[in-house]
Amino acid sequence: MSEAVISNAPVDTEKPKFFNYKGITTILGGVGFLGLVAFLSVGSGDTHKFMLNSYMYGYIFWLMVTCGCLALTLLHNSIKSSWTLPVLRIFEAGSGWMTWGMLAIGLVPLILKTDVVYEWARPEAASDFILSRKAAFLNKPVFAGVILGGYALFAFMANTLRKSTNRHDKSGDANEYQFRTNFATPMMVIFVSVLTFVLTLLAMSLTPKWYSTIYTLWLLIGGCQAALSMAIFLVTRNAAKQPYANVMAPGLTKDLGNMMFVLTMLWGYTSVSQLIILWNGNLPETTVFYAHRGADAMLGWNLIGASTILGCFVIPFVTLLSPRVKRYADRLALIAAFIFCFRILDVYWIIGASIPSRMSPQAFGPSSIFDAIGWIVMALAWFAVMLNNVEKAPLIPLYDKRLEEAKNNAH
Amino acid sequence: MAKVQDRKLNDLLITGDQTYTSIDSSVDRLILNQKLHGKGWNILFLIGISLTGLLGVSIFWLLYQGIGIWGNNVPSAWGFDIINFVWWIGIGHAGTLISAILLLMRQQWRNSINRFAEAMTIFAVMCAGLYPILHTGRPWNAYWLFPYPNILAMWPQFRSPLMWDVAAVSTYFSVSAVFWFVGLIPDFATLRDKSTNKYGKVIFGTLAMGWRGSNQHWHRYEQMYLLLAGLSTPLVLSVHSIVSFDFAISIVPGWNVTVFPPYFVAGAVFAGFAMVMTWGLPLRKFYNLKHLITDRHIDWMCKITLATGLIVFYGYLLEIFYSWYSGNFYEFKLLMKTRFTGIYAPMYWLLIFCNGIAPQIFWVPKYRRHEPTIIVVCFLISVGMWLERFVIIPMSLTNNYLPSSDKPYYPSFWDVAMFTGTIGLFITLMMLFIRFLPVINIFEVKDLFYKMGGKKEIVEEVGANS
Repeated sequence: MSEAVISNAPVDTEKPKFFNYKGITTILGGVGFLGLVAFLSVGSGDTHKFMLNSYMYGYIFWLMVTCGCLALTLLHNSIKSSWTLPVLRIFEAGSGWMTWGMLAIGLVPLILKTDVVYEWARPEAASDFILSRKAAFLNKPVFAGVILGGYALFAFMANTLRKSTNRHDKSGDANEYQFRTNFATPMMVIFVSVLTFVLTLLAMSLTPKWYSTIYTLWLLIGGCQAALSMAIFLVTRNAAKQPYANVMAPGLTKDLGNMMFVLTMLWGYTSVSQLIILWNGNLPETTVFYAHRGADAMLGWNLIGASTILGCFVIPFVTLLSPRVKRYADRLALIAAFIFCFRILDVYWIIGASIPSRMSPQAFGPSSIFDAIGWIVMALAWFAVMLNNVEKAPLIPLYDKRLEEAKNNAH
Repeated sequence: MAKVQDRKLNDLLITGDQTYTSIDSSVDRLILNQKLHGKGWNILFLIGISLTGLLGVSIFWLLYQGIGIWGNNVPSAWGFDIINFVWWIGIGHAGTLISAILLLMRQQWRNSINRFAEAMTIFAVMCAGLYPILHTGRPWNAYWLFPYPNILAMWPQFRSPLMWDVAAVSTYFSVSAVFWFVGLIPDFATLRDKSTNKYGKVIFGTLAMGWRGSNQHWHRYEQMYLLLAGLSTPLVLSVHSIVSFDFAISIVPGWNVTVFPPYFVAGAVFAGFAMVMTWGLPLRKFYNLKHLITDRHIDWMCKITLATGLIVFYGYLLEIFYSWYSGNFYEFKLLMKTRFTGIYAPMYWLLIFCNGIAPQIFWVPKYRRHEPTIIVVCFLISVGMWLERFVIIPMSLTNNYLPSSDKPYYPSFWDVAMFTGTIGLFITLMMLFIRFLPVINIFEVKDLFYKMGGKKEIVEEVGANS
């Protein structure tokens, strides 16, 4: 039970623990990421092919966490919410221009070796009736241009907001609030619109003849869930340390838990909507997404899919209904970690099973070790960038005292 | 009741020099002083009741002749009936959203608008419910839609979303009606106590169900209201999602669209808020309620309308992009040949204007407080949302996989008569509601007034939540 939340136990004045990992993640993440990108960009052979396919999973997972961070930053600034204040700096750091830069570098092997991963980039696609109709969109220049352009735009959004909060911290000028609201609200519209094209190219086109209009929303909600659960875990695990100890109160943890609850419901809602509609439609071109994922009765994609129903929806839903869980930082940290772990599995089910070479029930398994390596390297690199970025500003914005006042006024 | 002039007031939610008594009388005078309702009320009621008469004639003729009097044909077996059903159900969404979801989110600005929004919900769902019941052809057998043991051994087809609709809409109506009634009980007691008329005392006394305002009563009331809010919240999402399944689970071009559930829910909230403002603005003007339904309320409703409108517009763009990206000939044909350039194209482009372009004016703050602009935009949204259903239903049904499906759909006189009739029924019920029930939740506004004036920290909380 977190003492910081329920009692007046002495406050630890040390920095949050996650800073301790900055050095090691920077070294391992930097070396691992650059080495992997170099190998994937210039390599060849079966190992290279396996690794590049596996890399897709880790890359898209951390891209979605970054998108989740940016979406929640935009939301925070649009509605001027107070519950996001303790996690805002993590979101800002997680979606800063350095992260987008890292993701742009990570895209290089996919641009250079598009045909290894994407069926539509292979010469035989030209003779395919459906793929030839999509060729104006599914081609290498559009792939590179739209995704890199999207990243540049997202970096601009994140950077503008980050600069404004930094200025606000220094000057205390309340006009910055309004500036961010005016900026973030239309940007949220642009962000979702552009992300639709980015994810269609990067993720949906892994199964090139398949399409689903809810796909972007589904992935984005999952990304927000991953970003929020990660940030909540980092914050609540350090609830007794400064500066979080100044603001942690049952009301705040309840709000954070409620937001996780909302995202859990939205994830379940979008997942079920897509499944019901495609299953009932029963068209070959759309059911292809579920066909091989549900074909192996015992182990494999089917088992992972079934476990995500429990882990991504049923268990978090039931747990987060309870106010007792949301009241205490330690319990909230536990459920946040649980949700994050199942996000890893869910994206694996969505992306891993979409890779063309794995479109059969038997294909699950042999590549798992490569998948794990790709995910871990991306995770280290992502955390290295985030941790280096997050310490450049106070962990809780100085300009907004609502949480401190709420805690001081609480009975 | 003592004045609280010296207390700090957040004049954005309640304006002017108010007291508990003045808040009471602002609302209850509409019921206790019937002379307040002048010519305007009489004219609107007359229009409403006349159109309701037309509805009655339409229903009689329909029952006498059968549904052949409608413009429905093969392949367009669904026409005005389902368009209007979905349109009315959509309008019925804002009430429960305002009442339940905003309550759970502790958004106290809902207090001034929830009552008439809830009334709108119930009346709109009543209008909606008429269509599928009449479309069965034998409405006297409509109870067959419910699963019950019977000697015919006939069970509904549970795999059909039309059956899910029956459960969803009837549950939504029941819960909304109970929620509305429970919320009215403390106000009925106020009216019982203030009524000087014998009939008023008896009627409101009966409806108040023995409410004395004791601590125990309030405790139970709060618990029940919160439980009902929790129950209503998933219903708000589920009803229109299930309505969207009526279309989305089939393979008709333009229907098998996975984004339909959230897109329909957003559209429903969009239409619902537009209708709330369409009634709320004249209401506050003609009955001098601007101190309770303030510009801040209108501003926030405009923002929600804009946000949900953007989601709807995003849905239109997704439909366009993915009908091309799908590589499916029939999806592409529906888009390019029917929606963009076909015989119904003007309706499609008008839809884009009404739902996509017109609400963008709400980006500009001054227009969110300019009543004529808001009324015009809200009217356009109502038209646009009706057109959206027209675009989805007859346009897809008349452009199917077979050349023989290319038969246009035209509504008959009785389709139009029935639609205007339900509008009349809605107007009639709303006018009766305005005259005989409290249009604003009196005790919740007083509670907000107390919190705003009495406790500094809650004033800030209200401000922060805003």
